[in-house]
Amino acid sequence: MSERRVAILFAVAVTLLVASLTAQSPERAADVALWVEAPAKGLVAAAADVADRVRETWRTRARLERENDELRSRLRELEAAHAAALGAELEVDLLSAPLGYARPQDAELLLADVVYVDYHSWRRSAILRLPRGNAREEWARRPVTTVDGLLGRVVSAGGDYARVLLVTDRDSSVGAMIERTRRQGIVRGTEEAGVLSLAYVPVQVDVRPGDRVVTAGIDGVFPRGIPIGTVTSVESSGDQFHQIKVAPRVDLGSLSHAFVWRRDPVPEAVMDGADAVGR
Amino acid sequence: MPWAARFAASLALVSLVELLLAEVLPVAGRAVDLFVLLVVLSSLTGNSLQGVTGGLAAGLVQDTLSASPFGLHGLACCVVGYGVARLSQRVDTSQRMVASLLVAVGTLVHQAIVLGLLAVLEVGEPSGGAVPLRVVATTAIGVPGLWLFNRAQAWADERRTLKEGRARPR
Repeated sequence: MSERRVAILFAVAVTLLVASLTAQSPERAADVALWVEAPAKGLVAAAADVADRVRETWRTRARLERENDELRSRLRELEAAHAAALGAELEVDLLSAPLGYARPQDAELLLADVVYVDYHSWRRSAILRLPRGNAREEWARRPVTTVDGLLGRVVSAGGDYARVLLVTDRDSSVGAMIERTRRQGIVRGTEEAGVLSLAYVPVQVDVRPGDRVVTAGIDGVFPRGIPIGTVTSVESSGDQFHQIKVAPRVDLGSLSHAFVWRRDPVPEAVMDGADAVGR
Repeated sequence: MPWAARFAASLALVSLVELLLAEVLPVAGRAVDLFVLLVVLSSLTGNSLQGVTGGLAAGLVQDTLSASPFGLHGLACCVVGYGVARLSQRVDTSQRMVASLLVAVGTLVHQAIVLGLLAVLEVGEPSGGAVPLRVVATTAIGVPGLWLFNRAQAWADERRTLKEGRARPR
């Protein structure tokens, strides 16, 4: 009780002093109020900050635990898929060895800067700046891709630059196939920018919107399996072939880098000879 | 005579002496802090509540008589009164040296609080130069004051005992 009275008396003394200063000068009163108030506010702000951090840490931890579980599950799936793929590869090797079949080697990719893109006008092309020291290489007809899929092929090169004919150009044609059915056709550019057509797919073939279209590796230029796009519509108007529209996989509006495949295409002389044989 | 009445009488006497000193001998008035002396001497024999109450009352009177912000000495004397009262319960204040030391420390603490508050609140021109003089002068006055105080208390006790003895039936 005595301690309480002592505390009250101390409070009275402090209050009297503050009141006296307030009466003397309002500015001084504001200073004194600030002097008393600032640490209190700082304390409250610090407490709130700590509470926020604890809350945020808790949320982050919960999210990370969730993500970790998902990633572990995904890793297990991928490990299983990888094991299956390794098994399949081994099986392919075992089966192809007696046949004397030579699997195509993996090609080297060269990263190039995209310095010009025109995907709207008549001639849809892009210009790449090639890595230095490759000026003497034969670049023509080499495939060009991005991380998303097929971009086109090199049509000309000079110095450190190469012009790429985009897959959406009307003069572009790529041997392609529907991944699900492995039915082949030819992907061409259309008048509509950003829309491809898949031609020569007979009406008897099952094609559905959403089917993935990849390179078929039958045109002497592009290797097999590069994603080209996705089927968006299929029409059969009594003709022999489907009219299939394909949305390209590569977003031409966000190009910045591309990969040029260091893979020699089938020589043109051979291609011409093949044509001659065909004729 | 209850403590409050005795303290009030002492405070009135100290105020009167302080006013007289300020008129007759201003240098002495500035050099000796009689209010602190009163607070320390009363706290030596009282409890902490009496120390704080006496300190607040004496300090406020000192603030009223001086030009300092009202409450400045009130707060400082409160602290001194409380501190001396708590200390006096732990040490033997009947020893003259200990009591003198308490007076010196009380005056020093009082001066330090006043100067500190003046500096922090920027309400006056704190002058630390006069502090040693004030401490020494107040302690010098305080020692005989303490002796007088003890004598007065002993005399009051003696009278009370005598009165009780006469009143007791034979």
